Amino acid sequence: MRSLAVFTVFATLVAGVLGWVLADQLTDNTDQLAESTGEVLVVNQQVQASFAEAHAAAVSVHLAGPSGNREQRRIYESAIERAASGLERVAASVGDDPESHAALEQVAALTTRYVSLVESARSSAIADDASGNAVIAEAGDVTRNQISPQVDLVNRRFQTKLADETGGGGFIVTFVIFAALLILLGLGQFWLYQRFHRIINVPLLLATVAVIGWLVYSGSVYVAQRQAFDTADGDAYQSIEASGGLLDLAFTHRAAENAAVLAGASSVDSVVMDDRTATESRLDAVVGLADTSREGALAGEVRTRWDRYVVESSAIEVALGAGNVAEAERITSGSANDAFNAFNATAEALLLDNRQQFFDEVDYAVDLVRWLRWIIIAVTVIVAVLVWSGYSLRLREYQ
Amino acid sequence: MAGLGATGALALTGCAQPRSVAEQVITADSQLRVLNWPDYVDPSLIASAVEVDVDYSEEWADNYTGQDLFGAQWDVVMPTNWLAAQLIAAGQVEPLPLELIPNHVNIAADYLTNGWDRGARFHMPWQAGITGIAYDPALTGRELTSIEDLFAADLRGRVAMIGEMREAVGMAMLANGDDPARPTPSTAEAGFDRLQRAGSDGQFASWGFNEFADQLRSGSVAAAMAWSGDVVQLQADRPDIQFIVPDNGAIRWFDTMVIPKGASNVRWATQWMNNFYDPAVAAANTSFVQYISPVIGVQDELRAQGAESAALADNPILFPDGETRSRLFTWGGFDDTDAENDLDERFAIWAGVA
Repeated sequence: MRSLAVFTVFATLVAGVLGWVLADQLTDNTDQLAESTGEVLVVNQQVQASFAEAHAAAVSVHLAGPSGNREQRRIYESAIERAASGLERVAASVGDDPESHAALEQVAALTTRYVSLVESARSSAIADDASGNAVIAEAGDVTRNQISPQVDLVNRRFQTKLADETGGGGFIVTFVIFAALLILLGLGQFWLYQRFHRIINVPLLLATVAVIGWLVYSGSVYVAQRQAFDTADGDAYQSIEASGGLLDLAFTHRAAENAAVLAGASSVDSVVMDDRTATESRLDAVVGLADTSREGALAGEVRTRWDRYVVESSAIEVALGAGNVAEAERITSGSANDAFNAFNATAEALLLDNRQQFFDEVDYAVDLVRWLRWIIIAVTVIVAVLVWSGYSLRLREYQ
Repeated sequence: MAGLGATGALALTGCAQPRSVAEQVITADSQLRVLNWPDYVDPSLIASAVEVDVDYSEEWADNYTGQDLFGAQWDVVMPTNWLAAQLIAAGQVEPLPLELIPNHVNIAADYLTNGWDRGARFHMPWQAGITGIAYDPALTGRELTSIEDLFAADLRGRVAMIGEMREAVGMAMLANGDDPARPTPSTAEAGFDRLQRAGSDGQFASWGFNEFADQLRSGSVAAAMAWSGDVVQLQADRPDIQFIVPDNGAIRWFDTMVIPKGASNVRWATQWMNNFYDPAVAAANTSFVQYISPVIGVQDELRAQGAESAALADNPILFPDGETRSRLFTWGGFDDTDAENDLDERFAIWAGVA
């Protein structure tokens, strides 16, 4: 019986240590998700959208010719500042991932190049030099084909981390270990009953209740954490990705449309129209992902504001088709700009709402596991003491 | 176990389920309490705005000193844009339950792109105005075109100024070539220096608020830094008074509806907001207050009403064209709110409006 007592206490301590290690890992993963992975993934979407917004505004400024357009210039500068500060936040959050750091260094260098191209195009426009058109087109190429793939690379790496950090493996192993301990306690109680004909050993019963309590608690934390992760990843992050993609497509369309007006094209290029169609189908996805009445209302507003912009965009197309470039320029820098800015700000509001939802859920998940390690230690010590005193009682009785 | 999961974990860990914007508690009460600026709504529109009684107050204290906007005493208050930005940043404002405000979609683009609340998730502008220059051509003897005219030697001692720091310093910043939409302590201090230098030279006849309208009417000043809505009303008596948006720009400001944190009647606050974003209601209110409406569709609504309303629809002060709007700057606020408030206090003491 002394051997059984020692074995059970030992098994309890082993379960406690294993539980501590797994809970520690789980807590680290959840903290990592809150402080690093989630931040990188969400801010990356905003960085992509900011670059796209900056370029659409830069083209508008260029389109305005020597006098420029102060409002669009302000939008361009604000968007570049937001992109730069977003990149700083991402760089501070990626941790010791050399590939991400290398990609971010490239993005920083390309951003400097992009800004210098825009300034060079601006100087050409002020001098009324048409060569600036090619320079602003090159700047667009830098954002679309050089900066964007590097940001995507960082995103892909952190999406893999997200899947790892939201996995529930550690929880399940801990659960199984303590379930095994429960069985061991049950068998001990049964053995004592058979050997000494005592129906209940109170300390062992209390130890069993403590383990059952721990199992219920850890199970409930597990379920609540899964729900939080499902909402953060499944609902909020998917919506963030969809809104970020929507903004990216819309800005691409807007920049291409501005370029068509700049070139005085007789009609809007089919590529521009393809971008518009792609934006509309992405918009359907954004509306489809809305899972609350508030999100539905905001997504509906994004659609209405996009539709208002499409009316202006169609008017630009008609003007260009009729060879009336001056009218196309007037609409582009006037009512189309207003409608597009309104669409952009509303889509960003949707993104910000989902960002808040994402971090609320992740913070909740962090709170849930905050005390897990300490509760495991407390339960382990209590169970070990109770097991030892339970068997000691019988030993004394036997002696 | 799912149900147990939520409640059990909550009870044992003491942590609350996240209450995101999607799960906001919508309070409701039998009375709606609204705090606004004086003469800023057509009284006939108040009672029909919501289905409950409205306790409407116009007792907004000057400079917001000593006025408690929060808790359950107000459901809708109307801070000016810069104060709304500070309140939102401080978390003192409820997010708008957008699902209850379908007319949110009628907010004009100019009011959606502020860095402090992109997409207007926390506020809905009430009325907007331009702080530009008004003048009496008979007294100036010439046309005024730029902010420098407020500092011109030939108008020394005959210029009335508005004692709002963000507008006065903002105008001086524009004259210095700086951008009040993105102010920094150094550019704002440079603007304040310019005002102080001109002030010590005796350039300004007075610092105040609405008083400039009476001063222009009586001819005691030749020019004034002026609020557009007051000038529209003044022009009814004195159509010869001119209002300009200077070449180097002017300040656009707006007062905006927010729901203070802890408001006891969010439900009817949203109906109030939604009602005033119906273009027909907004047009009626614009006819009364004669400031710029932030609601899409108001110009068309005024035209459709004909007569005097249609004349308002063509008023360039109420509906500035795109070129004019590109010269309007909304104060962007400092990154450091304390530094901004410190400048505000020093300015108010210097201008004698504290």
